[in-house]
Amino acid sequence: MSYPVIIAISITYLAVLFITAYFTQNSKRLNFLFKDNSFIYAMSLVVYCTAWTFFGSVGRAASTGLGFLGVYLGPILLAPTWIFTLKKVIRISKYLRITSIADFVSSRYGKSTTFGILVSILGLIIVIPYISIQLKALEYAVSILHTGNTTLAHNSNVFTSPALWFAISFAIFAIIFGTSKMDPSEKHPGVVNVMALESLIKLFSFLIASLVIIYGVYNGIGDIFNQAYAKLEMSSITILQKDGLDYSTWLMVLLLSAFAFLFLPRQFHIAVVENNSVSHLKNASWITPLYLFLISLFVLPVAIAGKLMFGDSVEPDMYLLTLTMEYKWVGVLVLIGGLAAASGMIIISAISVSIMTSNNIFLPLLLKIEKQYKYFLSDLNTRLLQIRRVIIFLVLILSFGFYKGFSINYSIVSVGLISFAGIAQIAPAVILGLYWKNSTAKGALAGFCIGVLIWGYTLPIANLADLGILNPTIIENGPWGISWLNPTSLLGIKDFQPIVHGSMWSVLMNTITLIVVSLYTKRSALEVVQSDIFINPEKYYKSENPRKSIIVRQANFQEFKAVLISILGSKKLNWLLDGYFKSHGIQTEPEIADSELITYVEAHLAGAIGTSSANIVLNHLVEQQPVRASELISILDETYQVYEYSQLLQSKSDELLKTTEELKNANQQLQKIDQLKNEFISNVTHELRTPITSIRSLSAILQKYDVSDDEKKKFLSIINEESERISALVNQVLDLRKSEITNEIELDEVDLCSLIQTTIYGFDEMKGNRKIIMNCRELRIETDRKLLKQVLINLISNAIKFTSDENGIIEIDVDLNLYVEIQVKDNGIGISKEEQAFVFERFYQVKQENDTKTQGSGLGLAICKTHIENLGGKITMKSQLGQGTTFTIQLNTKIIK
Amino acid sequence: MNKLKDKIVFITIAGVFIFLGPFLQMESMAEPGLFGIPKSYLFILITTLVFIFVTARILIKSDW
Repeated sequence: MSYPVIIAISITYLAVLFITAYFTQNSKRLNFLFKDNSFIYAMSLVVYCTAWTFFGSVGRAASTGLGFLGVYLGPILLAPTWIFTLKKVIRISKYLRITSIADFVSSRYGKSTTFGILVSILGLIIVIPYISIQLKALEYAVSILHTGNTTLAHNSNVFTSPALWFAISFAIFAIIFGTSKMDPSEKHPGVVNVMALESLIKLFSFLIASLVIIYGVYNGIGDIFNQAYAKLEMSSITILQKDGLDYSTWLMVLLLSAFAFLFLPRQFHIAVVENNSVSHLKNASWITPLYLFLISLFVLPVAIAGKLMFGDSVEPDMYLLTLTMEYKWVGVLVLIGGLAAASGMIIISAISVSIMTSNNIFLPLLLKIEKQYKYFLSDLNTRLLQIRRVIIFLVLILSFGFYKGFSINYSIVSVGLISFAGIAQIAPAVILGLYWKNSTAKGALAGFCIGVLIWGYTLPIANLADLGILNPTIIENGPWGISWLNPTSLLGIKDFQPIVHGSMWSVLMNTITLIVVSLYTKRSALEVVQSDIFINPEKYYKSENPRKSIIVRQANFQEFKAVLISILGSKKLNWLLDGYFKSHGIQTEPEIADSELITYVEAHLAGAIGTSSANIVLNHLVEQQPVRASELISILDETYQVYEYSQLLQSKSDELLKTTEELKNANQQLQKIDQLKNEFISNVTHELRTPITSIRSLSAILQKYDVSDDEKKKFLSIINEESERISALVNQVLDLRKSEITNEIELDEVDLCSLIQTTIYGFDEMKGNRKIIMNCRELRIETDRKLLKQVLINLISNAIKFTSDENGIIEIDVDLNLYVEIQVKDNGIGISKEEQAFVFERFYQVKQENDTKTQGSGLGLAICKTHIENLGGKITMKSQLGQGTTFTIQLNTKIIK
Repeated sequence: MNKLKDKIVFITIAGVFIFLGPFLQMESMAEPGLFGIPKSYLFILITTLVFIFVTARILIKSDW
């Protein structure tokens, strides 16, 4: 194809871009149509697909097979999560009027100027080689279309090089539509619409060219793959294996691509800064992946087709164009597609880098270096735009120079992947900055520096050495012969591809350094404020009240206004101030600009010149105190409330555990009581049944039979005894029940000896020939007379029962040691050791020698134990079979005398 | 919102498993499949399309 035709096509295409940008930006009708359109947003996001995609993917697929897919699968895999992750970033950025990825990082870490400068420098270092490969792809495309090979690209001088003129054209476009005015929102609708249009063009042209190759040059996909299976070693390019595309490379490319899709300066600019509504993410989260799927659909067949047809005689990156040479109109379409892919990336990269570097490098440096900064501030608005235009122009010229000097020897993909690994150094600071409040500026900065140094050493430097531009012995034996410092095998680790090796070491060390340094450093007051906005953006974003600064600031209003006019322009500033005064009911301009006004204006200023620069400008103007006490108290209050709430929850949880334990114990106790009750009822009924049976039998005999008077007397006597037994049993049961349910006692002054003596008198008839001896010490105590007497009666009664009438002796001793002690001893039959443990249990009756039960209910000692315990004492027993038994009562009671 | 989050986390984990799982390392995946296209390539294309389709369905049906 003739050169003038190619030039004419290129100029026409560029003209279409200019016209599209102009009309969609300036026409209110078209602007309205495109402004709130999620499809436009989704299409603009695929500015990610550059000449690397259009030409380079085919080249990579030709050498690594499926390896090319990782670049698209990375973003596709994470796309569903954008509605949470990217939404958070967009909301923070809208709230703080963030203008670039460098601004974002700088703002998170206390508006750190140093961090902003370093990220901007990294962006610049990465973007120049990246743009250079776009220019290379375009020049190669023109060359192949014109001559059928790349000789034009290799032989052209600087001024006849098509790449130079493409670069200049793109620079003009970026300057016109990217730096026409200072807009605090940094939105460029014309540029975004052009990006979306270009995305459609490159997809359309790639699909058409691919279909022509598959069905025009070959006889369908089957034909291509059948030939491939016959002629090529397919397993090395279709599955992951150690000798071909290895697993670690596949994994790393997925990871780097996922990061790059969000953190490359141009991607951040399109996805975050140019975003009109977070709701657009809903559709973008599936439209963008679908686009990536479609544009990579035919890459492998085309790559294999090229490999089959040309082998190594044609550069794989140019297979798409070379294969369509027979169809000139397809060649033109490929050129236009390539132009769309490259121009989109170049224009948006140039604009984003110009904003980033002007706001984060040049302006802070100018403000810091120039002591009489007011000279600059007098016309800062215009100067800043001029700086941006110069940057755009310089970036493109440098990229052209880089292409002619270096990239001409590089493959498109290798430069792209190295750039991806470089930009991944921002990821730890951003990701941890969004979710870990304790990450500090010092930690993030240290991690970033370490990461970038390792990246630079293991990838760009190693690559330059590999190409022979630097001394190749570095990658053969390591620097100064130190093998463990070899940039392609640090610490002797040789098992990975260079891209995996470099990325792994740099990102890993970056992250570890960030975490470790953050743990040992503290955040400044400004970092605390900023980190809260980044971690909890909902709190601020949803708030209807303007953000209050915790820093107390004030400035002379006229000076403040003069400086701001130079940056924002008088029209914009007056509009802002009018809005503020109106909402605050201020009639006249104040003499002093207070903290609230300064914070309000700062947000808009940040939108124009970045947060870091806005901070520097205001620091020169305002007087400030570190922290507003009331706000600090408010933050502390909030923290304390959270702490208190947490403590309350902990306390409630403990209480709940305690209550559960108590309930468990109560339940066990209830079960035990229930069991005792059942036993008790069973025993009582058993004890009642015996005399009742006896009474019923005898009364039945008396009723039915004619019995003698003697027998009648005998039977009636037994009936009477059994009735008394029932009555006694019922009384004892009632006594026991009463003493168990209520431990009410009636304290009285009791003469102990007198009480015992009276009790003994009651047994005069019952004792028979037994002797009852009392050794009493005169004591008056405070106790319940009735209960104590009942206990004594039960004990003496038992002693009489178990001693013989002939020589039974019962001795009652009263003494005072630590407690008041009453002992009731007898010389009766005694109790066996086995039975001693049960004597105080209800209804237990000690067995006699003839194995029959003694008379009684078996409740006497149980009643004694309960009464004594109610009186605050205890009762114990000692006994030996055949020797007798001693019951000892110890009363802890008040002694009156 | 939490339900949507659960679905998104699930689909992402499923995607990670598909693309980072053992499938692409199987020898049999190198063999020709439908129309002579390598099985591994077919596998990636189909699962990616399903992944995108499911994501779209979840998002479109949600009130996000």
